[in-house]
Amino acid sequence: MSRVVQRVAGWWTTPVPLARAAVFRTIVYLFLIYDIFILVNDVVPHGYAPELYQPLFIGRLLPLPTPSPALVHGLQIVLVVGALVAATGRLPRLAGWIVAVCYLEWLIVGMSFGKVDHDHLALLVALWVLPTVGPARFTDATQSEAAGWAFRCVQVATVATYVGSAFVKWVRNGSPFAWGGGAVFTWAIIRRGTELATWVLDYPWLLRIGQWVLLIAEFLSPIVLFLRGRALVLAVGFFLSFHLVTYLSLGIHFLPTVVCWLAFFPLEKIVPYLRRLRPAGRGEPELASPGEGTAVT
Amino acid sequence: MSTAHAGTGAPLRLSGRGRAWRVGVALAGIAALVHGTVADSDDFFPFGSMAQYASAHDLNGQVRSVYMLADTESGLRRVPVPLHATGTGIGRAEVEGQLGRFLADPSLMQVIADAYRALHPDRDQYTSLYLMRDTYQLRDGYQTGPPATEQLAEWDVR
Repeated sequence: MSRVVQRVAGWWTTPVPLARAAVFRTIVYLFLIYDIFILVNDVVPHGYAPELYQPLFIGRLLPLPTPSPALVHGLQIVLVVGALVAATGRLPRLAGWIVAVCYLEWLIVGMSFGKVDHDHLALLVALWVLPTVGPARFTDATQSEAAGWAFRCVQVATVATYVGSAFVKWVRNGSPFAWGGGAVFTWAIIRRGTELATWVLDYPWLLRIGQWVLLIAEFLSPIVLFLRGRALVLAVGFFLSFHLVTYLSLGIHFLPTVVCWLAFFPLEKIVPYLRRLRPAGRGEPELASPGEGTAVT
Repeated sequence: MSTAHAGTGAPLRLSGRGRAWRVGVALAGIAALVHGTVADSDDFFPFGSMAQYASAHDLNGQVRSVYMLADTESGLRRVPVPLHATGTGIGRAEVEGQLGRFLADPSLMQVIADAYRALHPDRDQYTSLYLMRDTYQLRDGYQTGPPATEQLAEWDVR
């Protein structure tokens, strides 16, 4: 192997503690239950409107079933049970793969009715890589390259959500920065702006500055993969603030991507912290305490 | 298997094969995303383009917004139809995404009334549906005046 190949492979498999995978897994699987009931909650209704089903490429390629009430309710049950099991760290491979497959089908049903959302890439990648990590305890500080690969994939998918959207703006508008000078924020606020946002329609130059800042940040987002410490916190803080602003002004939240930003941080550090909060005594390390998921999501 | 005690032992390394397929899968995923982006297509979900709000929109262009109104069994006229997940299960963007189909065949609007009845059997049901569009004119990035409203299609619910 040449040195470059070795370095690339090494970067993709930089080891992380297994405890980090255990914590992230619990957060992701608990969030998933929230996601299927609150965020992608149009899947069950879609089961009742098969006439509007417009299969995507993947649905035309694979023999996927046309949405029906039985399919969507079945998926919902399997996802809830599977995610609860996987969140505890039991059967990480079996439960994890079942959840990954069912959640992909869940999203396909959600996105095959004329509108595709773009906030689920990193979460979907997380669900497909986490089962490869295998058993991991909340207290296991052993460094693992397999866990490292899973985290790297989630990080790259998170960043790809931003840099990909910058490049498609380039592809669609013919030049890398044409988008910044347009009226897309005005367009968005007129169509779905909240009361907090409509005042800004009188200041279109302000919206154009916002567009430029966002576009540049999206192009630069891969840098986040190489930041540490305070710079990392500031960069992630910028993107989280952006999502907060779009949520307050347009009702667009991107929470599935927001959760995956956690993959950039040493999550295992919350385990001793949470243990100190609990009364002394026996704590089964591989079980998620009820507060564990809610404290961080 | 990992032990319950923390921090002991050497890092768990991957075998050559384990490392190779992982890096291969990751690079293939990136290639698929690049393909979806260059093709600028949602069709390749989950490797489609991140095309939300990607169109620049002309500072002197128009902003169009499609919505539905309905008459109801209790005699209400032209009330807004909740085009979102918990209202009718079909979102506004989904109606806009399939607008051509609705215009070519307004009977497709029956699906909206049926879905509303299935999701909310206890509510005031629809007797007629109207597919509407508001068009706002921009000038130099500023919104000029109220929108022009037009009715695109109408359907008497069966």
